[in-house]
Amino acid sequence: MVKVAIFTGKAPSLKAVAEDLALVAGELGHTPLVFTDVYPELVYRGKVQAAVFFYPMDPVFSIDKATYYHDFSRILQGAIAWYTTVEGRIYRQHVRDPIWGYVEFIANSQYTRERLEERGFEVLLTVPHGVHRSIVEQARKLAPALRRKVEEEFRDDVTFLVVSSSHRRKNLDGLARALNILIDKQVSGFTVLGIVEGPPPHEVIYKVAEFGSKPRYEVMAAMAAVDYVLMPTQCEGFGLPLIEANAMGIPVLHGFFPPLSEFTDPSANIVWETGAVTYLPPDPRKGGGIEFELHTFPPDAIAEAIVEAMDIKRNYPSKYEDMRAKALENAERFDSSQLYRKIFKEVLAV
Amino acid sequence: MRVAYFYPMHHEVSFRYVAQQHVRFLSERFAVDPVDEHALVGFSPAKGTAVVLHPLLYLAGKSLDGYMHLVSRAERVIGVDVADSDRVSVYAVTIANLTDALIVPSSFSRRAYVESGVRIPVHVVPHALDDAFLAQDPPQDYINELGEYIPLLSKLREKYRVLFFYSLWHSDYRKGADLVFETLSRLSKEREDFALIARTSSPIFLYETEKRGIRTLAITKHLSHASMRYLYDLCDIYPLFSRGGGFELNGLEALARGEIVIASEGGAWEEYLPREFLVPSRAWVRVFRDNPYHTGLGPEIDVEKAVDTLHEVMDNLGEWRARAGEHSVKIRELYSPSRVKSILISTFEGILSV
Repeated sequence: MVKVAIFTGKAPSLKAVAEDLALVAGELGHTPLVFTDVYPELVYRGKVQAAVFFYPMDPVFSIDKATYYHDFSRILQGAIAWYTTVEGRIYRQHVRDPIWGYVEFIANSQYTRERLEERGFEVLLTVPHGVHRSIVEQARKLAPALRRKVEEEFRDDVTFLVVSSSHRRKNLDGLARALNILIDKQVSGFTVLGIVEGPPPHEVIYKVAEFGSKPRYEVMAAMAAVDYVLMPTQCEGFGLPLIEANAMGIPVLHGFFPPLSEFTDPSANIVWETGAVTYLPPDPRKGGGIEFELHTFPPDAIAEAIVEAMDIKRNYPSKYEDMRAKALENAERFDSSQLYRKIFKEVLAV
Repeated sequence: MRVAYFYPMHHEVSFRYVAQQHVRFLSERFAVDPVDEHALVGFSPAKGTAVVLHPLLYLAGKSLDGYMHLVSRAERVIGVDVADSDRVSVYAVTIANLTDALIVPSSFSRRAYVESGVRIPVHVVPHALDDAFLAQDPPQDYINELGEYIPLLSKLREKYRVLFFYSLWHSDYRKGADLVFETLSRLSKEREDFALIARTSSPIFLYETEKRGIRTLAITKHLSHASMRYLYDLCDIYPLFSRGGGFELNGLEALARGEIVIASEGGAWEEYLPREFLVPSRAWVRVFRDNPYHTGLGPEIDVEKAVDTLHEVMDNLGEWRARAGEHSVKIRELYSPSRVKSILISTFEGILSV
C-alpha cells in the first residue's frame, strides 16, 4: 500500500477525473494525493511511491510535465502513468522533442488513442473515464432539493441544462443561434439552464452557476433536476457530461461524432449527425500544440433536437422513461471503480 | 518526543479554545510548545518533534507551499480538524493524507473524511465540556458580564412560560438561523407563551426576529462560559437547527445544563443527543456555497415537523425538561474534561509510538 500522487490541471473535467482516480486508489488501499501543481519535493524526498499524471496531450502546454515524468519515472522506478486526452490533431513539429520519447500513454478513448498513435506515441491502454458510485450517490442525495427548486420556478416547461466552458470548440455560439431559430419559430415551453463560463451566450439561458465553481456531485445533481442535458459541443477528448448525465438517468442531446459516438447509446440520448470536419488552430495569443478537431453541424440540428426532446417529454412519457432507464444502463459501463483499477494494477503495478 | 502545537492564538474562534484545552491536556504527558499559526510558513521542525496543526485545513490552505515544505521535512505531522458537512473536497483529502494522523471530534466528521478518500488513521476525540458547565457552584463572572441584561432576563422568565435560547456568532446559514426564524415565526402566530433569548454578533438579528413577530432579547456581546451557563440554565429549549457542523458544542453544553435541545436527524449532534430530541430532515443541502474544503451536504430540519415537535414539548414542558435532566447526567460524565483528556492523551500516545 503506497502513497500515490495524482498530478493534474485546473480544468473542472481534469479535476473530476483526478478525484475519481483518488477514490479508486483509496479503494485499493493506497493513500491518494491530488495536486493541481507539481510538487517535485514530495517525490525527491520519498513521500510518495507512485504517480499518475492526468494532463491533456498538448506537446506545448505539457512539455514541463513530460520533463517531470521522465525524472519521476527514474525515482519511482517506473511506478508512473500518464493518462491523457486529445481533442484534435497534434502538431507534428512539436513532438520532435526527445523528451516525449520517454512517455507512454493511457488513452481515455479510442479517438485519443488514434490521435496519439498517428504521431508515433506509444499507448499502453485505453481506459474510458467513469463516474464513481459515491459521487452518484451524493448527487442523488442533493437532487430532490434542486429538482423541487426547478419545478417551482419553471413549472410547466421542459428543462434543459448546459454545462460548458466558453471555448469556441464547445459551440455555445451555435446554441445561441439555435435558440434564435426557436424564438423566431415562436417555440415556447422550454427553459435552458446553464452552468457556463462567463456571461451566458444567449439572454434566454438562465445561468445557475459559474462553470467550474461547484463540486462535481452538485453539477450532477443539477443534471438530475432537469429533463435533459444539452451538449452543443463540436469537439471533445471524451465528453464527461454525457456519462455524468446518463448516470443520473438523464438523456443527453449531442452530436454523433467521435469520441462521443464511442460512449453514447442513441436509444437513450437524442443525437444528430455531424458534417464536415474542420480544424481550429490554437489561439495565437496563448499558443498550443494541437489543432482542435471540429465536427461541424448547423444550429438547426440543435434546434430540431430540442423540439424533439420537448415532444417526447410532453407527449410520450413512456418513451421518455424508457430513455431514462437506458441512460442509466449506458452509464453502468462507466463505473470508475472498475475502469481505473487497471491503471493502478496494470500500469503502476501497485 | 516534543510536540509543536500550532493554532490561531489571536483569533476569536472556537478552534482557539479547543486548541488551548488540548495543549493543557497534552502538557500533562508530553513537552508541548504552543506556537501561533503565523509561525508556520518556513518552519522546519527539529529532529524528534511532532507537529500538530489545528485546524489542519485552514492552516495548510493558508500556504500550500509552506505546508509542503513542512510535510516533506517533519518526522510526524498530526492534523486536528472537523468536517462541517458529509464530504470534504479532494483538496482537503490531499492535505489530510499528507499527515500521519487526523483527529476529529465526532464519528460524523470521521465518516466524512474517510468516505471522501482519507486513508491515514482518523481518530475521534470529542470536545470536552468546560469546567464552568460542570462546577457545583455556578461561577459568578456572569453578574458583571451580563450586567444590565439580568433584570430583563428575569422579567422575561417571569412573563413567559417557555424561553428559547439560541447562540449565533457566525455562519448564519450553516447554523440554520433562517430555519430558527421560520419555525419560531410560525410558533409566534400560534401561541404567545414564549420568548427568544439570543446571543449574537449580528446587528440584524433583532431586525430579522422583530419583522417575524418573534419576541426577542438579543445579547450582542461575547460571553464567557459562566454567562453561557447562566443562559442555558435560565432557558428551556435550545433550537440546534444547524445544517452542518463537525460537533456543535452549543448543543452539548445546553444538554449538559438540562436544556431541551431540538435538532434535525443526520448531523454530528446525533452522537450526543437522545433520539427523542431529533426531528426528521426535509432535505440534504449544501452547507456552504463556496468553501474549498467542506463541500458536502448537511440535513435541513423539516420546519413543519419542528413546529409540531415544539408544540408537543411546550405543552408538556415539565416532562421534557425531566428527560433532558436525566440525559444531562450521562452527558456530563461522557464529555467531562478528565475523560476527554484521557482519550486525547492515549490517542497521541498511539500516534507517536507508531
